[in-house]
Amino acid sequence: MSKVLVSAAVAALVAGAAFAADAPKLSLTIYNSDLALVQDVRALDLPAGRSRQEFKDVSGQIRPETVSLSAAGVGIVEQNFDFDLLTPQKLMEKAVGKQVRIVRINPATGAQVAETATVLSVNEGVVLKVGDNIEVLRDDDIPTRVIFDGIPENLRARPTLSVTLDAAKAGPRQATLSYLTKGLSWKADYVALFDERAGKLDLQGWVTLTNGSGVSYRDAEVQLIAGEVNLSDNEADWTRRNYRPRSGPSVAGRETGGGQARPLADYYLYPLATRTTVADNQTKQVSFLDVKGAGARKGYSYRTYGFETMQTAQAVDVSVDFANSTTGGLGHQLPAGIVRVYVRDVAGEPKFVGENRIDHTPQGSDMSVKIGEAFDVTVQSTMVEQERVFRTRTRTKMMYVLRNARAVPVTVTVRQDGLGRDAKVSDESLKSRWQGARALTWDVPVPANGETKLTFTTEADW
Amino acid sequence: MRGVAAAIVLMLTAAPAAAQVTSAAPERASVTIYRSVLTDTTADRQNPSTGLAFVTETRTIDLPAGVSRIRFAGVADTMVPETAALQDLPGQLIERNEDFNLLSPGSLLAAYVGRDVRLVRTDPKTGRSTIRQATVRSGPDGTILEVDGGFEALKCSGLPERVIFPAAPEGLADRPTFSVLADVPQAGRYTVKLSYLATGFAWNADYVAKLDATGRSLDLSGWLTLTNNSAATFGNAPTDVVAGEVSRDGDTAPPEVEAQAAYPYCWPRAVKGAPRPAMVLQAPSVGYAAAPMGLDDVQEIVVTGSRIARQSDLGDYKLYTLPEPTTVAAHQTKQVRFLDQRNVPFERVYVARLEDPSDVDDDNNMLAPQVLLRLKNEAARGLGKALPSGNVAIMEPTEAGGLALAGEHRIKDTPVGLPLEIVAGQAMDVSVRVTARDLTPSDRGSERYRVEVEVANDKPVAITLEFAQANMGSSFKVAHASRRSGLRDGEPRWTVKLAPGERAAFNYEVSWTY
Repeated sequence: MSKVLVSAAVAALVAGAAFAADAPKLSLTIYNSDLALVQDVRALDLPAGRSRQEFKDVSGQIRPETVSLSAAGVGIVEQNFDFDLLTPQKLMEKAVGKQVRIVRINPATGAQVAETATVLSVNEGVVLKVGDNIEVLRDDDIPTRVIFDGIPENLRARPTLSVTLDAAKAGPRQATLSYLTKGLSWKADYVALFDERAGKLDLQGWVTLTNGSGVSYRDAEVQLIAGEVNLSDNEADWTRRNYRPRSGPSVAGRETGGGQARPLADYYLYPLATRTTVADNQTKQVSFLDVKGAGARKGYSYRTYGFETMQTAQAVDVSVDFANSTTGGLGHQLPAGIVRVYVRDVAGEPKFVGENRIDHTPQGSDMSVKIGEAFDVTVQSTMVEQERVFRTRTRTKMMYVLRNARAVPVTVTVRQDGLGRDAKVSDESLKSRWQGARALTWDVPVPANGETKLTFTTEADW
Repeated sequence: MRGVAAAIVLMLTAAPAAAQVTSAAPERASVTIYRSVLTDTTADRQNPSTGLAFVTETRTIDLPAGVSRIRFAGVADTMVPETAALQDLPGQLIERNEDFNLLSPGSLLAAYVGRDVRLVRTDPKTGRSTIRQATVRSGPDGTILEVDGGFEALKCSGLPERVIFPAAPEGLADRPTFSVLADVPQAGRYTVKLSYLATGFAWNADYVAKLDATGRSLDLSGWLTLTNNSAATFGNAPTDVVAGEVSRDGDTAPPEVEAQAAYPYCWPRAVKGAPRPAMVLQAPSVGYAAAPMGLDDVQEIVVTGSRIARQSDLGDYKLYTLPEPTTVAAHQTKQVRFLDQRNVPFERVYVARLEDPSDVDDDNNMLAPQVLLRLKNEAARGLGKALPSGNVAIMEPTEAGGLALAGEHRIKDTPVGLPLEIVAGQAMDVSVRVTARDLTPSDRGSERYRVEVEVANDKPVAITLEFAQANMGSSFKVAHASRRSGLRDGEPRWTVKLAPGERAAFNYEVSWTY
């Protein structure tokens, strides 16, 4: 019996005035490629004229050249991204030429002696001027506190974005801060439950987004973009293109917890149905696809690129094949990701049987996901004969022995690639199909607990 | 300043409307382990990121109506969060989260930047402590505190100092935490199934082939060796293993988790004698919930030999179910028998194989024949069982009545119906001498050799010797042989039966093109 703990709902602790009053709107547009667009709408209460606004809670992996701030009646004088971080050493270096207080503690008595000192240099040690004497700080190992009167303005606890604004008149207004940051990315993960007997596949799609950007994004609207976005080496190019995502209506409730893809230029955009908090160091998953009973079948295949003589038999590939079409019961754009396939065991429990990666797959594609190799279905090839029929033309006789130790017959698709130019096939024991000009396939039926020999002769220029 | 502090608090709190529910541990779990070939067992034992298991846990949770955040404690430390699936939870699953912001000295300081703490200084002489209110002004990589209006660096004065934090920040946990946000229509007690993939589990097959005194049959026993390199223990769990090549992706791995350390990172100090070591600011990469120190060396090996694992099919793989639920303990290796075949007939053959005839010269003309035990994996021939790849140890009876290791050989996955060949080692007292004469014409793009083969049996027993000419590739052809050859595994092969002390010779021509 497991212990179950239920704790009371955590109430919102402290809500700062700036956060409670103006309902900030934070939106994230996350790309596949370690990139996200952050749009942060917040209220600024500005005085008339010039003022400096600091944004301390921006991502530490911000690309500062992509920052833009817009607000009504406000001009931007300059933007700074300060990443000079406050450390004891920096504080000491900035104190050179200035006065600090030092407190020496007598290790025998505990008595404290406070003095004023001037920092002369910070090079492999701190040189101080105490009264008229020049000393090295803690040269005698006696505990000595150093007290600084203040912290230089440009040293900060974390990277800080500051913008100098020029407002026409004083008063509160909405401002939109947007920037690109690294450290946020997403991928798709699919769960495919395959029922071989019924020829059906249940496909669930999950968006997996990972935040390693150093900050949390609270209560954000999240949308995901599928597709390969071109990223220039010159990151500043981006600002010139002045990217603006579409803001459409919410599509809550159409599919489990997730959104529906809407085309955005040549990418697909998946908005999440509800606002969510993307915490730092978090992987979050939201369902975006749940299709039951799509038509699917199992396929056995073996593909070879040359004429090989194998000393031992080799297992053939097993795949789950399905059509990503509406008629087949699926018909969705499938963003790139890993498909993990499960089948039910004898007891009816789903068990993992293999995984593979798919590319961005538009609707209407035929898909074949290799899940592994068949234990009981093998192939062994022999180059029976090869001879030159002409200076540049070779004739090859091949034999593929396909064995099946299963109690049911199977069909293996054998694909012979790597044929030369002007290839011909003859004397084949089964009818072949051309796959382009240089590859042939055969559908080879193999009886239960039996074997089939596929033989053929090809002739080609090289 | 107040606004900044409030913002930090808000970032660290969970969604405020959700009830927090913790499921402490599973009541039951079942484990399916996938095969990994542990080529270097010692290295892989240290590495919990190789191997794979599919874990299904049954848990009972009391849930209030409405939105709850359900935290699952006690999952495997090597869980791959994106593979998690939750069954039998009523209502709507809004999202699943894996949080790996770990509570550490560094993350604690980072969370308290801009907030108030207490600074404790202890007088080394009197032992008396003084406590001061302080505000953290910079984070873990060199901390600055604001104390009594002045600014001081933490742990740079040489005095014993420590910081007292009023509370552990929300959102920081001792280990990565998996949780789901779900909207349940009705309060109640629910039994749910949580399943996921986890790394750090592996198994492989090991065989022992014990030859009998007649030298014509052997007893073949097979063992499943299960290894758990993770820190998770599943007690009394139904366990099975999957044989066959399952496609894997390297991205199916637990997230890389780094705990943030805190460094004083003080200003430079003139140190007499040794030069100051370079300051490295990188936080050490902490292993994913590493085992307590010293425990890593404890490798328990459990052998349960009395009962045998059942085999069934899982799709196109073979599934071996352990005879009874077992405890798959952390850092443990366990062995279970899955095969016990008695009196399997075999044929002992000596096989010599010539690769490239052009490599043969006066210094290099003796081929070393191998001793091969040839079986057929058929029920009629005493076997007929799916044999997952693994090492076969061949044990031969000695004249003194004991057993000796005659050799070790790795076999491939062998389905029913296929021949099974076990290489026992190199033959003694069986010699194969080859000479090759180069007949390659100078103007043609082909190679041609006449090969002479002399074989001799100096053993006191009759033997069967097979001589194979490796297939040399394009336009490979063997002709003008003085003795009839057969074709085995795509290669011409001559079979010679030799009585004790008998010698034989034959020759053939071989040609191929480049």
